[in-house]
Amino acid sequence: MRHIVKPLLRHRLMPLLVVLQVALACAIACNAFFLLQQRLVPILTPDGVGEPDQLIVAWQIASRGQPWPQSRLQEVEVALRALPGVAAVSIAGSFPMETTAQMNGNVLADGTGIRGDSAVYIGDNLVDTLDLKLVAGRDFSASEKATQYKDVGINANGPAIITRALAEQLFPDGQALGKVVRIGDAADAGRRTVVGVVEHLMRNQLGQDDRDDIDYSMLFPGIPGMFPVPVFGVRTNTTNIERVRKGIKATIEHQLGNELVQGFEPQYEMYGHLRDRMLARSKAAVWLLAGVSVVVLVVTLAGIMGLTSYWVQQRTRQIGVRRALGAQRSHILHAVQIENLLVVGTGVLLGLLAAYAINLWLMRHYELARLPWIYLPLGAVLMLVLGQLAVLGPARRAARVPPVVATRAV
Amino acid sequence: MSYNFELALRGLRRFPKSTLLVVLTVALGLSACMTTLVLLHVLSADPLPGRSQHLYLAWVDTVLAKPNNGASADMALNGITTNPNAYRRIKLADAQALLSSRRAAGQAVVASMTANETSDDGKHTESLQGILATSADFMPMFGVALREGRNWNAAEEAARVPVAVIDTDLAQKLFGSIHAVGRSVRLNKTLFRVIGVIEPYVTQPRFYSLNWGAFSSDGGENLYAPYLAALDAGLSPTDSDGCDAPAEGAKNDGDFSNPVHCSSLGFWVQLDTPKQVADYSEYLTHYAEQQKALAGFGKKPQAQLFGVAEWLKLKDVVPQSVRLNVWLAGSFLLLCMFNVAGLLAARFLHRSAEIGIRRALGAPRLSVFVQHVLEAGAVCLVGGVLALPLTLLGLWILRHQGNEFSGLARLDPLMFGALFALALLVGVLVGVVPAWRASAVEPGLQIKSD
Repeated sequence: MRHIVKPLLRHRLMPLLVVLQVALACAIACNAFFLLQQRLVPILTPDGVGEPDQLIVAWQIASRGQPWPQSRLQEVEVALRALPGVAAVSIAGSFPMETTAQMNGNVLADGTGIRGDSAVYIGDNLVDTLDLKLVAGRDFSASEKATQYKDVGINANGPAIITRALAEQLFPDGQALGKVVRIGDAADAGRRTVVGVVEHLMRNQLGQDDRDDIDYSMLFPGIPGMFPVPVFGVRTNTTNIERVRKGIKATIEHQLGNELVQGFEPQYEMYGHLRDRMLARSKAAVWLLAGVSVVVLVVTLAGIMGLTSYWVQQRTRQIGVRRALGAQRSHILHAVQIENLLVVGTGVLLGLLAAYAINLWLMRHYELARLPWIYLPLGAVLMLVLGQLAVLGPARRAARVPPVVATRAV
Repeated sequence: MSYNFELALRGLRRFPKSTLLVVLTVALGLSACMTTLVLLHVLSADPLPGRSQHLYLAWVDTVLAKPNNGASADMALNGITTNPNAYRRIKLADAQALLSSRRAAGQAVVASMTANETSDDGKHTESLQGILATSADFMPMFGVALREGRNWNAAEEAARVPVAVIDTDLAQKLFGSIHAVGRSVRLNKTLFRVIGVIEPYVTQPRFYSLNWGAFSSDGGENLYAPYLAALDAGLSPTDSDGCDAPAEGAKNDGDFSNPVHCSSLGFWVQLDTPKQVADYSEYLTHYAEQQKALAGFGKKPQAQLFGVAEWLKLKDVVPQSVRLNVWLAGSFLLLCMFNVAGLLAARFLHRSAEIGIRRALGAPRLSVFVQHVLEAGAVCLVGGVLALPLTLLGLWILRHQGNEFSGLARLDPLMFGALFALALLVGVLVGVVPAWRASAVEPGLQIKSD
């Protein structure tokens, strides 16, 4: 070991530069990967909506003057349901992947007071229309679905279906059915009894970063009142989607056409389009961060490679002497590799400290989440592997140095 | 010096591969750093240089409703949350009271509204256009330059005369000519007589009406009208910061932005001296304390005065991700610098023998040092030149990211200069250590060995 450490300490500049480079690259990579992972969360999280190719969303339907009464919306719904190829229709206040209207509640479990920030979707037939997968309990009953709220309905009492993630957050004992969720702290806050649990349903409001509560959603049955921008979700059971889409357009124009805000065209979009649009920003950020990470790694690789090959070249004669004194090629190869491991390892240790410090600083100033510890060993391993890759070429060149070099004149 | 320079250039040409690697690394680091800096620079620039430091947003809380705190449910439409006091707006009665007190050098109600704009002959309609309902003082306070005609005066405003000032774009669209003074624009059922024409006006960020988003790529409102006349015509602000609770038993009328009972009007004042600011702040506090009705709802009197910079900071106008990207790119540049320093050191020490000979022939240490710093500087300058197209490419990518603000990302001459200053600085910083090591080479030893 001594014959590896000693030259490093004698010629400090080169190893020092590698150490600094590795430390910085390690700190950047850990944090960039963490940011990358956060941006990936909304893209990778299942949204819970089944058969997205069979769901058409009619949105941006804005009433001129007073909002439509619920009976009017129900007439439209009946007409939509009568279209050929339509399997289910739902009126909704807000809709997954559609951000015009967002309803959110800071809700708490009655009794324990455990909190969660949840999206709220109010609609009369959302479970069927979104094709959500019930994992416990039941869908709303016909009478519950027919509820007409005086106002939007977020704060009213009634039943609710919640996602499994929210159920696990609010009721850690695993018994959510029959429990009550309070919509806020106020004494008169709405009380919702959980009647069903669905597997997934993504919220329609994405923060700057990922949020643990991305899958926290609640469904309330009924039709929101005094609601200026209702949405209709239509699930089809035919392959001729375009015909159904035209039918929906014609029906809504016929029923509400004269009462729409002018210059604000209703949109009839496939659910998949909505999803792509909403996630476009996350995707752009993912590409950016992935690009940065790759460039950081490539630059580091090139840097270590350049420095090591100079470092090896400089010691060609010493290597020749060692070979002449009986060292095997593999000895030289391993010596260079171990040397690299030492140098890069020192850099990694510094880098992990720096990564952690940077993360603490980012948490203070940018409301970022804590870096999960698993990123640190992952970053370390990545850097060590990168270092070994970079040194492979120079090390093999060193091993090829013939013993005869030692005999050349000084 | 010129000899040193020649030697530096010669050095560059000797190892073309490593020179290329260094130049590319520097260019990548510089352009990443510059791209993010340009965006930050654009977004955090003073929206109204020379005027913004005298403008203040005045706010008193007079909404007769229980304060909403802790856990609750809320709703957002078009990304606009009905977050209480989000944009620190006030109700109509308070706006009129503050206006008529005339305690400030200038004062203006500001409210964004939408309507269809139709030319007086009914031939052209622009639907859902942004309209700024404001006061006579807005134009002088915010430095809006008239191109033709005049602004309305306080008397017209008080008399609720439907007049309007439009921008040249709208004049062109509705009347086919920018000479629109004397024509009229129909908003709802009311004809607003055009008395002035301005160049399209918008500040970035649009600090005076943030509820429509901080950065607009569409040029902002194209019609300015007295706020009372606009309200008379049935226009209304699009959203509010909160409404009076409906009387017991009354049904909510579903109108969440009527300024009579909802806080939906921004109120900006111009205060030129610290004394004026202090006086006005005191006046506002006093005004808030007089709102006795609030006590019934468990509210304390609240009044605040925000300077423009303070207001933009409070509202987090520059997105966090933009600042974060600057840090990320900055640390990447640092990594590139370490990298380049290493490559340069390797290359300089590679010619130790040659340096030794130069030193033995009498070249002073300083001269060797300068030669190598020059070489490093030259590499980085070339990197800077290459970074320019890369930065433009980066900005082009940014513009296609679809953020509301990304359209603004453009390189201006100032940032262009900054790029080269940065390149030079990087070059010198990166070159110092390797050059010092090179100049430390002992003359005699090098001739002996190898």
